[in-house]
Amino acid sequence: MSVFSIAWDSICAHRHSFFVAVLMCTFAAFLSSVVIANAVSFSEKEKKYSDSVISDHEKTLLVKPLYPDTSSSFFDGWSRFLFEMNRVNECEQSGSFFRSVIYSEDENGIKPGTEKMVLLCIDEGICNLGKAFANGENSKLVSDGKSIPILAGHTYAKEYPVGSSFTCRGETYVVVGSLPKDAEWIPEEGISNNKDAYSVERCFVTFTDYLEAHPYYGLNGAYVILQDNANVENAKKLLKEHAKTCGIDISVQTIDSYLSGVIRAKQNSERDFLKELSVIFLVCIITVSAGNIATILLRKREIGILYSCGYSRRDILMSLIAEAGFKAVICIVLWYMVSLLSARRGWYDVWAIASDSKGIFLILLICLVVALFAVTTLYSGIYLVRKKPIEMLEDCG
Amino acid sequence: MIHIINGNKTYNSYEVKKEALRDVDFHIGAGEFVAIMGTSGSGKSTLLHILGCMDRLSSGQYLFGETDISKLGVNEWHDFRREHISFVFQNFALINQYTVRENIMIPLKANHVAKTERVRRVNQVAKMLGIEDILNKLPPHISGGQQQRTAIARAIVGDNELLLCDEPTGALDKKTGIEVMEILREIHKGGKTIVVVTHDAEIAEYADRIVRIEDGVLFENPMQ
Repeated sequence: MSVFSIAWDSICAHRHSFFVAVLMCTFAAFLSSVVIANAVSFSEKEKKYSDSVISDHEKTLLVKPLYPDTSSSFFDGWSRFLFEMNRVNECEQSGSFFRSVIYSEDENGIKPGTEKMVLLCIDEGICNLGKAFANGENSKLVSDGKSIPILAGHTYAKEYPVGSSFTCRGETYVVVGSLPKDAEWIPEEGISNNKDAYSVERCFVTFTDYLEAHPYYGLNGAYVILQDNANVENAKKLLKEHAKTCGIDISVQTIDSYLSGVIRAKQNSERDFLKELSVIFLVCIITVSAGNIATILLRKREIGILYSCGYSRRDILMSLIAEAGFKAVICIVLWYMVSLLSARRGWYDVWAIASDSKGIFLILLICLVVALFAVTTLYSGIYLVRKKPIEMLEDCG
Repeated sequence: MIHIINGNKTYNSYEVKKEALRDVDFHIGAGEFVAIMGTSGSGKSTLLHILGCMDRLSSGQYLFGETDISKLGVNEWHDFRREHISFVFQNFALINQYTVRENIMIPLKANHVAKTERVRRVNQVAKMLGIEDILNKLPPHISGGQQQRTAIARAIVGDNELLLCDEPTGALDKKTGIEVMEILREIHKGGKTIVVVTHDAEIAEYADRIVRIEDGVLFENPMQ
C-alpha cells in the first residue's frame, strides 16, 4: 500500500512532467505501431503482388511503361514497379497519374499491337475518364477517336474470365487478365483508400492504345517482358520494329530474367524497409527510454530526501516501478484509443489495431511498452538507489 | 548513547587523499544538546553525516547504544537510520512539489504509520511549531523560517531519538535563526538528543556542549 501511496504522491506532485512523459510515450508508441503496420502491410502486399505477377506471366506478356524518372537505382526493375504502384496510391487524390500494364497473347505467339486485349485502367486519372465514359460523356481520349477502351466505371467493374470476349463501343475485346473485385471504382469516393493498392495495377491495354497514350502521359518508352522463351527473338524483332515506327524506346527481356530481377529487387526493397523500420523504431524506443530515465534521474534530489527521511531502497525502487506502471497503463490506454480512432477513420494503418491484425500483436505491443518502461525504470532506479544518501543530497547543501 | 572510537574518514578523489576526520574519539550522551563548530572544510558536516548513517567511517568504530553501526549491512544501516535518526538541513531539503503537510508526512509513510495516525501527528507537530496554517502550501510559497520549521516538523514527527541539524540557521536571517534555535531548545527539553553543526558561535551557545573540529581533528570545549 505504501509503495503505491508514495508513487501516487509523486505522480500528483509531478503531474505536469508526468503528463508530458505520458504524451511523449504515447506518441512514440503510436508512431512505432504505424511504422510496423506499414512495413508489415508492404511486405504482405509485395508478396501478394509478386505472386500474382508471376502467376500472370505464365500466360501473358507484360509491358510496363518507362517513366522519365528512372534514374534512381532504388527504383530500377521491380522496385520501380513498386514505386509506380505507390504513386498510384498517392495520385488517387491528384488524378494525374497513368499506369498501364500490357498483356498480349494469342495462339500465334506475341503480336504487339493486337486488338485482342482489353484495358481495365483504374487509377484516378483514368477512373475519371471511366466515370465519364460510364456516364455517357466523352473524355478527351475517347472523343478524339483514338478510343482507349476504359472499363473502370462501375458498369464494368466485375471479373472477366480470362479468354472470354465482349463488345465495347462496337469493338470486340478478348480478356487476357482480370480485374480484382476490390479494385472497383466508387463514383462518390474514387478508389477507396482501403482497397488493395496493388490491385489498381491490373491494367490491360492494347499495345497500340498504349503507344497512342504514352505521349499524353509523358511516358518515354515501354518495358516489355516476354513469357515465351522460344519466341524471344521474333518478339524482340517485332517490338523493335514497332517501336522504331512509333518513335519510342522499348526494352525487352524474358520472363525468366525479369522474375529473377523481381526476386532480387524484392529482397532489396525488403532490406530497405527493414532499415527504415529499425531506424524509426529505434527513435521511438530512445524517446520512451530517454523520457522515462530523465524523469527519474532528474528527481535525484527528491529521492535523496526520501532516502534521508527513512525510505528504504526497496520502497524507492518499488515506488518508481509503480509510477512507471501507472505511466505505462495510461500510455497504453491512450495509445489504444488514438490508434483505434486513427484506424477507424482510415488515417493510418496501425499495427495491432487494424482489422486484419491478430490479437497477439496487441498483446505483443503492450508487452513491449511495459518491458520498455520496466527496463528503463529499473536501470535508472537502481542507478540512483545504489548511491549513498549523501551523494544524492549534494544539492541540498 | 553515541560513541565514535578512533574514527577516520578519508576521501579519495583523482588519486588525491583527503583526510576529513582523523582519530576522532567522540561521545554524546542521551538527551544531550551538542554543537559541533568548525570552519568550512573542517570536517564537521562529514562527522554529522557519519553520525546520521549517511556515510561510513573509513576506519574506527561507531556505536549507537548497543549497536555497532560500522558492522551493519546496507539495508540494516538504512533501517537503523529510519528508526533512530532525523535530519534538519541548512537548505531545508523540502520537496518543492509536495505540500508542507506531505513533506512532514514523509517519515511517517516511510515507517508505514496508518493514515489517521499520520494526520494526527502531523497536526500535532504543526501546531507545536506554529505552521498549521500553511500545511496545504508548497514550500516555494512560504518564507525561509516557515520552511525550516517545516523541516524541523518533519524531523521530529517520527519521534526519533537523535536529531541532527546541519547549519539549521545558515539560510535564515538572524531573527528567524534565533526562533529556530529556540524551537530546537524546546525540542531538546522534551528529551531529544540534538547535534547541531554550525560555524556561528552565537548559535552554538544554545547547546549544552560545544565541540570544535579543525582539519578533521576534534577538540572538546565544554561550556561553562
